[in-house]
Amino acid sequence: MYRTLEWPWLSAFLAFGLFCAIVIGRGSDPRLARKLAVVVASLFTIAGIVATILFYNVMNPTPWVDPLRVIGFHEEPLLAVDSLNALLLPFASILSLSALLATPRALMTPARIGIILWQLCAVWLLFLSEDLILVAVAWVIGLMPLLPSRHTMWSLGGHIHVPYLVLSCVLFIAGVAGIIQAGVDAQVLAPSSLLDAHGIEAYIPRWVLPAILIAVMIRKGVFPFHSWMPSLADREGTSTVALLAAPQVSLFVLIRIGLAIFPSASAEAMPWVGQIALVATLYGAVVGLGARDMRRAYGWMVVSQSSLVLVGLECANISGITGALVLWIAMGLSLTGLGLAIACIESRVNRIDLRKFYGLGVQAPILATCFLILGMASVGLPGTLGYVAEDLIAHGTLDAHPWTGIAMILATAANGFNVLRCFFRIFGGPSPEGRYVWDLLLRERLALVGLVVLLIVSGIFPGPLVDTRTSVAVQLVSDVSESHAH
Amino acid sequence: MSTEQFFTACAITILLLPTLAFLWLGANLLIQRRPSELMISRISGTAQLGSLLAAITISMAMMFNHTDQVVVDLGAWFIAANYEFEIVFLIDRLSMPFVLLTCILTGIVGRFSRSYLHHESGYARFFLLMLMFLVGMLCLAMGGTIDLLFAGWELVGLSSALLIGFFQHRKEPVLNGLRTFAVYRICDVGLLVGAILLHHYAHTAEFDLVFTHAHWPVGLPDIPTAPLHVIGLLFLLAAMGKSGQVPFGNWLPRAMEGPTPSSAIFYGGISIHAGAYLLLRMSPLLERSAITMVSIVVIGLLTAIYGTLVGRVQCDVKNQLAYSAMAQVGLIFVEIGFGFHFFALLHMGGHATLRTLQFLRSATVLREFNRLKAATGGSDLSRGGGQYEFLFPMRLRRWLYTAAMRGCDMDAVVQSTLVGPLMKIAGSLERIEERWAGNIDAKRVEP
Repeated sequence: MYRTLEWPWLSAFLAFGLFCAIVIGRGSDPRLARKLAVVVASLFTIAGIVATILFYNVMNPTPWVDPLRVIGFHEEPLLAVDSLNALLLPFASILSLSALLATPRALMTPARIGIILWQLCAVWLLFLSEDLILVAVAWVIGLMPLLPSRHTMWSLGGHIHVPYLVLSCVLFIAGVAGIIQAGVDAQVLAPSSLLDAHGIEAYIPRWVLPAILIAVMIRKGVFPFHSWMPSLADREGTSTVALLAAPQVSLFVLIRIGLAIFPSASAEAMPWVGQIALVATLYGAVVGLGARDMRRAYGWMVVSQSSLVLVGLECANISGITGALVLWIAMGLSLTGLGLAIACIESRVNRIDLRKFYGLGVQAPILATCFLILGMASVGLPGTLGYVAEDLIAHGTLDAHPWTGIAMILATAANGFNVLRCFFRIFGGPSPEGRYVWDLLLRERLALVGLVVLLIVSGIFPGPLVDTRTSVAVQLVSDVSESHAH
Repeated sequence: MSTEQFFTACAITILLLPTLAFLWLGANLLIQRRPSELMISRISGTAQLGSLLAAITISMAMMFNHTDQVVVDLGAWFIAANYEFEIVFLIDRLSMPFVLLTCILTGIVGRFSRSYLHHESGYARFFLLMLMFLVGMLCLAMGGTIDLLFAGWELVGLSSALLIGFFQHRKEPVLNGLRTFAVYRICDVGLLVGAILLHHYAHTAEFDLVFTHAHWPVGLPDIPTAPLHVIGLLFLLAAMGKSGQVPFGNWLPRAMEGPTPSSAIFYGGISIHAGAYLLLRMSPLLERSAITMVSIVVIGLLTAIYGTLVGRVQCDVKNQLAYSAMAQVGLIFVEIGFGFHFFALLHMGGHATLRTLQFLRSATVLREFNRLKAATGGSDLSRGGGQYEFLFPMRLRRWLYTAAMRGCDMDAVVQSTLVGPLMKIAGSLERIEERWAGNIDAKRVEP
């Protein structure tokens, strides 16, 4: 059951966001574009927070849907807020707002600012969509800024992400088409609606789930489809990777489509996916130790830590899944912050070679503190949300598969060492002679300190966040058990 | 106010005051407000004193009430269906001496640092890290669950590594801090896996329940024998790392790169005993595993011999003290291995106090030495040692001397068997990945 909103707030807000993204992206004054974009992203953040508070305190637990319908299309809702996506809306907005504030001025052309807003709208659209076609559209438009252009179409040197991302789009669209075709075969009234797709698993061809799983694994950068992630970080910078990886839209799709439409097949496939993700977690952590460049080291951290979320999701018990869902938020906040901190450092000293010492600690202590807290929070520093998430995942995985849990702990230990290695290389050693390195600017401080405060406050008082994620985990576990019973 | 409420209030006070001081200082530094040196030392001193007074009050109350153990349960921090993270403090004959020792020694070192680090650019950072260490140590000591103990353990490890790299404008302290952190991370895996296995087999993380409500050092954990051995050895691995035992002990002299007050509190006083504390806390469990107890004795003995041997050839006072501390903690391990819990606890207290004093005095030892020399009419005071060496044949003495000078190649062994191969594999894989991704071409056009 769901409750329909009186006004099409969700669709109107998304349309407004996309309009702003296009207008701002076509502007010529980067300062004005950034200011406008910050206002728009702040509106999204406020709207997301209001929606979350209203959902959990007023409407709970009924999902509310947008009244928008497309003439000639089916009558099922297209956009909805529910327990899974309610919290993710402000989360995604905060990530984009932080990126808009902290990304160095040299990188912030109006086009780039437009892309950040565009990606925010794509993430919102994907989170809110109740229709498979809209999910596929959101999947593709979120990647559009990274897909081939005239210049990159035929030259893959340094653009290794292009074939990976194109493949993920093709596989995902094919998978969605397969599900819709199955809906047509099963004579469902609205074959593309996610709300009507339950119970059509028997009609879906066998290749569809593998196609979707591979698309998800590519987009998440899970082994063996991981190479594009550090490469993209190397090529485009850490803030681009942060915004692409941190919202974890592929994980959302896995839960929304994989677990909801294919409960039985997913239950069989998830242990394999989990084991592969575990290899990715360990592999990313180990290879990250050998990285000589900060951008690549960051790329490996993203590969390793984002795969960890899949490991938690696979363990099929409530504490593990809750841990994965909490880690989703914790990792998003911390790795986005870390990526932005690296971008801030690069704007001061150019690219960072991890074989050298940069000695920035004396001149930029706040940047150093933010870097350390954000980095360590991503690997479970006590007192931050990362610790809560890692604790839940560790208990969940060790309850389900002890060896998986041990491998996960080893990977986290290696990542922790890697964070401190990068910290000491950048902020330790002799200070640069004759070079003035300024500490965080006000806008950068707002973003990075804000993320630090968010991680610490939610780490000290994790109760409400864990409660909301536990309810989602309970729902997921009961859905899978129900399908097994059938 | 009931007795239970009284103990709860005191336990919260012990932990809350340093936490608030830490958050206050951290928040100030984060918003670029630098409080005066006097303000920093006063606030941190007040927090330390408040914790100490609360700890003394609890100890006195326990003594007058003839209570051995009080469990303060503050409820669940967070709950995920059937899993709860409980905030439980265990106040007993093991934790209270350790808490008192921590508060007293940290307070003394804090007061000492006020003058010692006067006008030092990292003055606020030092106090921030010291408060972080204090919070971690109190969590570790009072933690009534293995999860809380682990949280404290992690904070202690991080603050330790950061304080070793305190003089960040030089490369060596930074590299040594990193090296120490690497050892900590390797050994922390033991604690985390052990903690989760303990939770898995005992179905609880609370020490009070694991040890079936028996008061320390007694307890009958209901865990099958095979996992018991594994858990015991994992906790031993964690203790070896934190307490600088063989073969992980060589981070200890490296840690001397930090400022003297931090060396005193970490590697002379409190932190180095954290591993021994863990073994004591888990002793009812470890005693049921003969393999673990024998391993504790063997490792303790080897460390004591190693520390004595290598410490005797050090020409730097802080290094000499570090190796002496290592040897003494090795002996404490032996005592724990033989089941002398209270003796080990007493040894720990005595050693921590003496070593803190020695470290704090090490900064002025040369001046003191010259003063003594002058007072005794210039007699040669530098000759020392030589008490037992003459018992060995000259050839063996030379061999031992060479081995001691080289630190028994322990660093090289760890480097060649663990760190080196891992870094080599990591480097090779990264190069393959770089080639695969075509980044070599891309790098040629980098700005």
